Amino acid sequence: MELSQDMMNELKAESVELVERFTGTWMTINALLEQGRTVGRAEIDELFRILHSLKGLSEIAELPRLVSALHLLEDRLTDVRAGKSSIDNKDLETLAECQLLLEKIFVSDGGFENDSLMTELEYQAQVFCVGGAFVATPQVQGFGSRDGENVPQCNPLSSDERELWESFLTRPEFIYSFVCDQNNSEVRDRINSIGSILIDRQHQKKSLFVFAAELDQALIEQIVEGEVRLLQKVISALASLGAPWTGLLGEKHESFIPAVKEVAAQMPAAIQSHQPENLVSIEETSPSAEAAASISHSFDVVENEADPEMVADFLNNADELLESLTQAMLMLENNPDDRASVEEIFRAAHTIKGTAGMLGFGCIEQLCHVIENTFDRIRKNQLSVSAPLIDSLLIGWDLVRNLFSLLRSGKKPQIPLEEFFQRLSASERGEMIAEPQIAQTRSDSINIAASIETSSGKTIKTEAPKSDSQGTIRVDLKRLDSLVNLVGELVIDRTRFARIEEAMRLRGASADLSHQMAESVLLFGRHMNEVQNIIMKVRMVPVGNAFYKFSRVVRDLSRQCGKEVELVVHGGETELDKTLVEEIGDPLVHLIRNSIDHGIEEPEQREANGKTRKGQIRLSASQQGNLIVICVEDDGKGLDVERIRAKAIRNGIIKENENIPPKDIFNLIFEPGFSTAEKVTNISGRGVGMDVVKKNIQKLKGVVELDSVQGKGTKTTIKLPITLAIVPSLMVEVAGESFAIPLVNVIESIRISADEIQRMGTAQFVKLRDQVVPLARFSDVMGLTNIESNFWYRPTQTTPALSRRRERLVFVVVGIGHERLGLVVDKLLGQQEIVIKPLGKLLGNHPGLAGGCVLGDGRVALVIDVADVAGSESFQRGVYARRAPQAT
Amino acid sequence: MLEELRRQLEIKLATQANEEQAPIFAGKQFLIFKVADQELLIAVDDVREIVMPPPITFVPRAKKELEGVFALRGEIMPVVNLRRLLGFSQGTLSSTTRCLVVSPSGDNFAIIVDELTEFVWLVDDEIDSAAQEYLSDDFCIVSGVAKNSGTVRPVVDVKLVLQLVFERGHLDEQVAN
Repeated sequence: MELSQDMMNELKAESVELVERFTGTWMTINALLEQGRTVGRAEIDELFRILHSLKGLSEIAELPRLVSALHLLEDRLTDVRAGKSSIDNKDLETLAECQLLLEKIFVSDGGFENDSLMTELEYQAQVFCVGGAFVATPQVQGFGSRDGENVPQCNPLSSDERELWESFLTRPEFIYSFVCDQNNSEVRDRINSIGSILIDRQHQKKSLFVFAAELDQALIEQIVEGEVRLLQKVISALASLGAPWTGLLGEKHESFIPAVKEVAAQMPAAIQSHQPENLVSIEETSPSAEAAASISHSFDVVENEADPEMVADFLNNADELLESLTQAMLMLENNPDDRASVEEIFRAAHTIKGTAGMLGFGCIEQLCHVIENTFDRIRKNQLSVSAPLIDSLLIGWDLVRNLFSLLRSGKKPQIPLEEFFQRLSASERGEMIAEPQIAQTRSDSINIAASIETSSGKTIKTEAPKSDSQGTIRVDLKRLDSLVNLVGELVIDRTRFARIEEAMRLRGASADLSHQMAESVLLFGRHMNEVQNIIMKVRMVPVGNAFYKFSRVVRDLSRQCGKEVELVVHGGETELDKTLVEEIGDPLVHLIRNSIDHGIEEPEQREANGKTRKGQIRLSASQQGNLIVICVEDDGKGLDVERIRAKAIRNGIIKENENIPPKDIFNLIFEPGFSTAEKVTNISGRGVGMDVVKKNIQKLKGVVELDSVQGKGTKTTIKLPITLAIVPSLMVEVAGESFAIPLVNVIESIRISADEIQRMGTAQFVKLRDQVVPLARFSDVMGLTNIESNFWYRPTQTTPALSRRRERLVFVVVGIGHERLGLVVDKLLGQQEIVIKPLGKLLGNHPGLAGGCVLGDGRVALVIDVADVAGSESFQRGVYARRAPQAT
Repeated sequence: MLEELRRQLEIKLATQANEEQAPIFAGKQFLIFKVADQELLIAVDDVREIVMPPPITFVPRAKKELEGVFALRGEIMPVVNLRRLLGFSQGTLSSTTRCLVVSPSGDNFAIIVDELTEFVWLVDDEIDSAAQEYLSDDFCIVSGVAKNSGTVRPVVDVKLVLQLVFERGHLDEQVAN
């Protein structure tokens, strides 16, 4: 791409906005359809405009594939506009897919280069273009349509043709390129003849092959250079391909031909038995069951001598692939809707299969093929991910791994696989049986109304959420940040002026002059405040921007789980710093997913429990002082306290005799690894990703708390600072130095007399109402003990050191999640809004410090990172090992 | 403050002189400063700014060579204590104490020194390469030796200072040792 980075960024920003508008329009159309109304001209026009703009952008960005895909979408909409067709639910689904893909392409980094996303989009665009009823004739020639199984309605092939065709089916793509590379006219003819068969039959899969044959040779050489080089080394690989490729070998490889014939005779048999649904008719049987039947005679196909170098190469690659595969599998298990994982697994399986097949390891190939098929079905949502399925698949990968180790030890990679296939098909069938039921619930429960209510109670439909884009200007965030910094500087200057003004008054400058000075300082201050407020507001966006997408999430998920869920959004207009809004999406998705998956019960069960059939998830945002509070609340079955406690005891997180209030018990599910250890509810993995949620929120300097009433529901509360730029903090003084503790972490500050401290060994605690709070001296925790000897150029102390025996101790209770700690400080200096700045590279990533801030008098105060301090070893030492404070 | 301004002016004039005279005067300007009783040189080109030491904030558990941080026009600036770095005895804040703000390879920091003495022009011949093998480890921040006057005076390279501070461990470890 020849475009400058700036331009790409600009295009990206614009397209992201367009995609957001797309989502909004989609929601409107969805709402209309759900109410049984027809989609109006206005919505279609809006959609058309958005797509057209996107197309225009893609053209500028020189993304021809994207342009053509968008063009297809546009084509259909033109028909709709002309009244030739209309949008139905099925189209809506397709549009939703497109929207998702577009979002991925535009929003994620490198989305433009992601081929699989493009291909997927092209496919969806084609589906949309030809309307709800899928037509086998693709609209665009040479279009890399998805090489999947969506191949209904093709004319039956003659037996010759089929044989020829089937020899293509399982072959990795690069073989074809390899053939082209030979510059053999006969080969070209062959490919062309196969290509014309494909065209004749109007087969969906043709595009790739015809494409390969049509491409000019130099290009192919470029694309597949690596693979081609590899392949050229091994003629035997070619030999194992079967007809028509064996023809390429020529006379000198005749010795291979008998073996090849054998392969050719057996392969189609194997393929035929598990591919018929692709080719002739679609049967709703489990393909792996059939594969199992055919496998017994198709394993031990070839025993050719593969180049040992290649085998070693293959094993190395395959090891890596298996590693990422297993990772992806685990991710998939935690997150059954993770399309990216499925795609990744699919690709990896495909690669292993292809190479194994090339090297003639039939057993591995077969195994991978079956697994790949399963994933293909998952990918197409014909199969949903379930624990037993994942289990079987993991067993499958273990088998593959076993095969690899056999191969490594020089043995023939073969083990009996029937058992596995049976197991896999059984777990697949388990899903199949469940499916009709879900399908039935689907049909009557699609009405998930996503009404967005303002806090004043008015109901606003999601119509064109971002249509008022006139009169706005897009500004680089960096410029805004430097503006914010400068304003911070001015705030400091203002404080200085105030001090000078005071000094003038005290030193007896003329009354008139000092009066004028006082007045202008006051005015300056007032204007400064205004500027500060406006600058802060510039960065604010309504949190609703992040909420919009959740109605989609809820809709999709509830369908998947066969539940009826309604999402009610409150306070979407609450404003939050832009970066925060962007970051908050992920944790919220986790929470909402949890609520649907595990919180809300099945409709029948809800009725039995005397609840409404339809579950409700309330997503609300509100401002409380300097904090934004976001709540995710469901009216599901709630958390089982005893269960969590039992598990926590078993995991060793808490002790059996520990008396922990229920609220703290709930928070245990945020512990890392807690969810994976065992299942909290009967359904798998309550607390999925909760650790991630907590980490993310902490990163944003926020806190997350959980509350639940069994049988009534669960409520998760996230508290975030309004902006990351300015942090309201509690200023404290310790050992003559000022420190800032972000207010979001401060629970309270309390003065107690020294004899209220309870001691257990060296550890100190204080009983605060009903809570026992561990106590530590701030100076111990931060390592301020040897300040005199380390700090040479110390400014002369204005305040005399607190030498007198203090009667009372001041401590600040800080909290991270459910943890509470008391930090004993010398003095509280009050609350102040600070701008956190980095301490500079020389100091590096300093433990316990979030950075520094410049105070009104120009001095630097250090900002405490409470999460770090609370978790740090020195704190533990501070509590448990240090001696009692001198004051006691 | 006045003194400070005068120095700033001096530096400025010297720079201008440098620019004008460059073709004739093929030398480099150096600033001579004192740490404890040791006179050291630093290339004027390396010094971004000279400031009166603002109140410094102590950073607990920082590297021992770092005195703390101060704010310079909103930017937080780490301060390197050259006395510590070179292994001298404890110094105190006095009226002659200055901070040299330097930014080798974009990392801004300040060096706290006891006194500024003078500016000198030196030609290449007047600087010898440092006899590293005779110097203690602390003096590895020295890139050369000026021999223009009766006493030899080391020339400090700020890049080496930065490097040394990065390499040194944390204060806690130092104390433990």
